[in-house]
Amino acid sequence: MSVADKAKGALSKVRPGSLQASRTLPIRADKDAIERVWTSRTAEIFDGIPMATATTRYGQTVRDWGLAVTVDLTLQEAVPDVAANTLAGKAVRRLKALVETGEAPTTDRNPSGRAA
Amino acid sequence: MRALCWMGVNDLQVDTVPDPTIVNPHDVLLKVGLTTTCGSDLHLLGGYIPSMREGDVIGHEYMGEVVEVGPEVRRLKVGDRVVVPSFLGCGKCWYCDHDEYSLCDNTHPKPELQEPELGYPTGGIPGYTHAFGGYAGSHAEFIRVPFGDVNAFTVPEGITDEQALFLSDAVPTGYMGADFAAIQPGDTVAVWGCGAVGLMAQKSAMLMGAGRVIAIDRLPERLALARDVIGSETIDYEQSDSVVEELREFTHGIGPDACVEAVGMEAHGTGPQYAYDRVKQALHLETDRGSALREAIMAVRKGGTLSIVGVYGLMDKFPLGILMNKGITIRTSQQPGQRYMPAMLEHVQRGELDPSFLVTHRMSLEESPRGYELFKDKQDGCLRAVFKP
Repeated sequence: MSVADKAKGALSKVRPGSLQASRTLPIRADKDAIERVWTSRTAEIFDGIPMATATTRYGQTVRDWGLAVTVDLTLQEAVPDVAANTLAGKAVRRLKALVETGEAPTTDRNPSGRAA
Repeated sequence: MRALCWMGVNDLQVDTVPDPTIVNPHDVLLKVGLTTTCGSDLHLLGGYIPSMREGDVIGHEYMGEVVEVGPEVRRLKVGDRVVVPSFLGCGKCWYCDHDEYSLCDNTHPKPELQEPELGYPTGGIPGYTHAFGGYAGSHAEFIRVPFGDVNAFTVPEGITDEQALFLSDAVPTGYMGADFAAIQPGDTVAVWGCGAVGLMAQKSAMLMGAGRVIAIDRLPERLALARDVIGSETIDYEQSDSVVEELREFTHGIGPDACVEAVGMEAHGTGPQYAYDRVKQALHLETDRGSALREAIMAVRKGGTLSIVGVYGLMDKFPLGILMNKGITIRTSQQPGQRYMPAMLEHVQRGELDPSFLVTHRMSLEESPRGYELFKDKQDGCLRAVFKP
């Protein structure tokens, strides 16, 4: 077997990046409050994330951390260099921030020498 | 507005950039009063901490005046003189609720950049790489502060701008270092580093009841500050055959009860281990030169405490076996200045703590690239360059 064939064989065994992922975080609010934000601020939660479908699941309340919330995310397409589960993590973090504080952290309109 | 921008490794330029605006409802805008160099900026400047982008505004230790508040801001008002701890908290998440503001769950806009390195993202911090949030920094005429009511503390009358400035980072980092050392009355505490943070750790250790504080550095002017202003005993490690041996003798063979490491990833040193670190760091095979940290681990007494406040990346040759066999407790964190602010303000008001002696160079923002040159190369006795935009 040639080196090129060996390389092709190795590459064929590399798993393609998944388009589906789930991430869980506790959020300090009740289910109704979380669902209100989930449905009313979807655009902010998925800003920059090529979401095809996304749903929430609810687990137990984790001591004083809050209610365990899982975001199940399916991407329209893979994002280069960013795993799907990382993006699911970003979405659930934004949901958490919006619920707990009313806003999502952002660097929009961030001053820099690039924009000068 | 004018701002100091990172344009590449060892390339800082003052440029005209857009003014910040209120973006989120809990934001406040500050007119920056004073803003200062920090040793951790040098890691960005030297390219040791990745994820800077050309044009980023740097700076994370600052104070100023509130000029605009978002619609959800309740406590602060326009005209308030405030100081802001470097790491941003939201005041609502589990971590903020437990006074761990630098670990806040809700202030990092780009967790996907940091999670692969740390497992979980920290709180955000201005002017300190995109992996730490990417917020524009304080070396500018204005800065946006998220969650102003949580993060911006009103400076009481009687405290000067220069005193307040260092309550943003140098004092709380040093104060935390001493706090983590779990000092019992009469303890001996050794502190590596006589930069602003190390000096504040020494002073804080004394405020917390240390019997003796021993400072380790190599720069005569900084060792003099430790001796003359703080009252520490000192060791010049370049004049010492063995710092560990000296500390052992200083402590009657016991070793310091606690060691505070306030040097970080660009430690200087002597001997083959230091040469090895320099080569590996230059070749990007490791991010850290860890000679001060390794020395502190060796020096601390059995069962003692090691408090790490220097900034580190990814270090190899970390002597875990020494820690384990000596039963050493390690505590470390980025500083949650919000936790310590009431106590720090009280110390300053009572006259027990005056960090304004840290200012060695006062400059305009336009002169800030020169300020960083002096600071980086430790020229002209530069301990901290302070810029007034």
